[in-house]
Amino acid sequence: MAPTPHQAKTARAKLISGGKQPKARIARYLKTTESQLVEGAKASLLLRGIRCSDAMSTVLKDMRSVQSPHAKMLSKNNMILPFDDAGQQSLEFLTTKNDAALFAVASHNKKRPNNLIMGRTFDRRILDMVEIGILQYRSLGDFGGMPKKRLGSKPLLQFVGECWTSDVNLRRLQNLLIDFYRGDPVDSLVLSGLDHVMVFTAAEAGRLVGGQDARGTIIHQRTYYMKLKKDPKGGKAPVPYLTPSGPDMDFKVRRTQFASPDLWKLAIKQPAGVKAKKKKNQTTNIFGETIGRLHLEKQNIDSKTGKKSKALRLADMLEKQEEKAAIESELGREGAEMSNEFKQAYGFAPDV
Amino acid sequence: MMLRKKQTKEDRGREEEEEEEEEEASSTSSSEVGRQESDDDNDDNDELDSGSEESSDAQLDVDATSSGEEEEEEEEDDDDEDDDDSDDGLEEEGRDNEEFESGDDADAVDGKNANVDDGNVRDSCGGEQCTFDLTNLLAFNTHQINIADLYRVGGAGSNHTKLKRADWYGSSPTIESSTTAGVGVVNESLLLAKAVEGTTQLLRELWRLPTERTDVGMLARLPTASAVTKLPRSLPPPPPKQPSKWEQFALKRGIVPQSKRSRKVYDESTGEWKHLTGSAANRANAGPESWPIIEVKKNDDPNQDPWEKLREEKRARVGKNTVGRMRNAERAGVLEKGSANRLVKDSARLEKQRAIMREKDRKRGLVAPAGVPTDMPGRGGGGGYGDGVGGTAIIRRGKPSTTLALKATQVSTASLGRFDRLREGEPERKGQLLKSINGKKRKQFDADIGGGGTNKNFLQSEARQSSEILNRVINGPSSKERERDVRKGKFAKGETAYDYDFDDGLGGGSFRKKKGRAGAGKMKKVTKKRIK
Repeated sequence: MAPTPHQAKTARAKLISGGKQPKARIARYLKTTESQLVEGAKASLLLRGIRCSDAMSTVLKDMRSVQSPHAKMLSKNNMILPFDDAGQQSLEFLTTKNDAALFAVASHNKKRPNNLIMGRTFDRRILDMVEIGILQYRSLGDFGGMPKKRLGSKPLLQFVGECWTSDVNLRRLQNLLIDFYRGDPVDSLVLSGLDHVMVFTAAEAGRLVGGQDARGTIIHQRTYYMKLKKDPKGGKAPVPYLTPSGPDMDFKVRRTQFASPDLWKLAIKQPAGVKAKKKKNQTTNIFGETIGRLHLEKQNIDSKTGKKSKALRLADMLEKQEEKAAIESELGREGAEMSNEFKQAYGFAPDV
Repeated sequence: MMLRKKQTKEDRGREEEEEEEEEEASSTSSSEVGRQESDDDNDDNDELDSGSEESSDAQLDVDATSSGEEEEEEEEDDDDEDDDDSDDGLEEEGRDNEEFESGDDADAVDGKNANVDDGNVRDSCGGEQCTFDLTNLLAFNTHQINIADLYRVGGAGSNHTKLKRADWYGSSPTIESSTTAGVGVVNESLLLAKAVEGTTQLLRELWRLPTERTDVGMLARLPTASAVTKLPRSLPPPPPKQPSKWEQFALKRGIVPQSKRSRKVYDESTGEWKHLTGSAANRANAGPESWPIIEVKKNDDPNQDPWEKLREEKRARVGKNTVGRMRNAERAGVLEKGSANRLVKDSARLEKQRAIMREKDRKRGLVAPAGVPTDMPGRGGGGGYGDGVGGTAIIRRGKPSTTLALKATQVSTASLGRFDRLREGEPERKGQLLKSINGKKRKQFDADIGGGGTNKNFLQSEARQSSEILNRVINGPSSKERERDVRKGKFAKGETAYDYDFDDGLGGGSFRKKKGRAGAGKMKKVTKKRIK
């Protein structure tokens, strides 16, 4: 549970004014909840909203599978109206507590069937929110025996259609979708590990509907499991072989609440110089192997005794016994000599 | 092999028909002639390819750099198409249809050795060129989508080209069916085709990146310098740290920490290497606080506990350090303003109270703790004639502290003073420890009231006591006393945690299913029975 800003502040104040430090493990965790120069993957919080149907729960569960390990799904229903002030406060609180920057709330009612509200936060306040209505959905379970992506692998994302750049809303939605499904931001990648593609196709179906839907942009989300095959023409790059696998969704945009330009500017701003911390005691040789260095103290070999082998111990024992016997015999002899002398000197035997 | 060829030819034939019809129906078109030619070309290629493909082994190899080409027949066709035709997506779509419908040998790959092509490998793929963002592995295909192809609405070729759902979706239903009228069935193969195209191009770009060899495989360095898509952060970047007062000073003066502090230091007294921090016992160069004997120096007060003095000094230093840290934090904005001053005021107040208490004790005569000899010369007040070494006054202990010391010694024996003989003039032994052993309060013979049945005071006191007892029996003791007694445990019935009730024989018989503790059933843990 990450601390709210107020809790963090009081904890910090207590620490500075002579309080006891928390345990090292907890201190490390708290450090991850603070702001960092280079940010890792955004975690997402999946919530069930007001009257979330089974189908929508499945949507959330699939999202969790796709986004894991960076997704957290809460099991209880939350009476949250995200487009409401109180609801936004609840969302901000929940996302802060669960260390999540992205969230998705699923609900279902007559007016807005199969509703999913996706959004993200900045600085523990809501940045963007998009409400989408799902028209068609195929879950992971529907693709029973098909091969699916590996846990935690990064997707290749693709946006098809010119609406993505022409429509303002769709531009922001594109940004949100990238944020949601990107995974860990990395600067180097093992290319052979890429195993799935997500394609978002935006089509303006409005025309066909006969003018009912003014902006009837329908977005088709398809996920394909990708197998890389050798290019027959001998290029280095492989050719993908796609099979439909993951969750497929057709949806349209209902309501949006995007960030004001100022807030957006703040959120986009990246720190000036990001210096990577030098890793000590690690080198990579020409074979690509990573070699580590351990520094040990000098061991006092003389004083430390090891374990003796059984034979040596027995030998020692025998030696000792022999010595003992020798000494005893010596003493006996000496004793006998002395008593003899005594006898000679005094005539009677001494009391032994 | 032959069979396979036939199949493909048949499929091709069927597909060509379809294509032609689709071509007629749709708005976009490419020259039929061109297409047919290309088809012919492809046919030829196909035959050749299919022959050679089946010869090599099936192998699903992902590594792009190894030799030996393996490729799906269908995939390769697709690529051939790409290279040969500068088409729109339709052709590919048709191909794809065929690929997935004919034989799901998706995993049984037919290999192919050398590429038998037209010979010209074009750089630009057929189909739509995408833009990329390699940092996030993105591809943007901003070409227009043919809506009609996507949705297949209405009459366009609906009689015979019943666009069926691809086989892979099977018969399993979707979770939600589309309620929007008129959208129709989505052309999955078109989407797939677009996906394949975009992915191929993206992979091509990715494989152009600089790579390096590691133990996990070929690692490609993604471009991080240029950010094509700007994604917002989850938290604002951390504010730069405000330098503390000392850091500012050091910066101004140019003071730099000279050398690294070694972790362990040689401790002279014990001859071991110890850390610089830790308890007084484990620390290197621990000061007088760890010595069992401390000399009294010239200007020292012999009646003061030197260890207590050291501890007080340390507390003062720690307090000063804390206040300084808080001031730095306030300056940095981490802490709210005024908290350092508040701490200073609080500690000052506490000090004052402590000083007052000390004065009170001194006035009472408790100059020194019981065990410290006070006949030594030292400074400080106290009753005594001034006749000590160096002209300082001798401190006498005084009556209160002497009586305290006597009381302490009275119970300082093994039997806590119970069986020791009282010396002459020694006051009665009273002490906390003594009381706890005795328990019972003896009725004291009050001398001034006196004994005797007719002494009025005695009678009165007796009567008073009896009436008090009677009241207590009838009413129960007063709440305060009762609470105190309950707290002390006078009303506790049981002796152990597993309490038992007194069985007076009047209640029901005790039947236990099992012997011992187990038969008693669920036992509640009771430490003290509280009377409500």
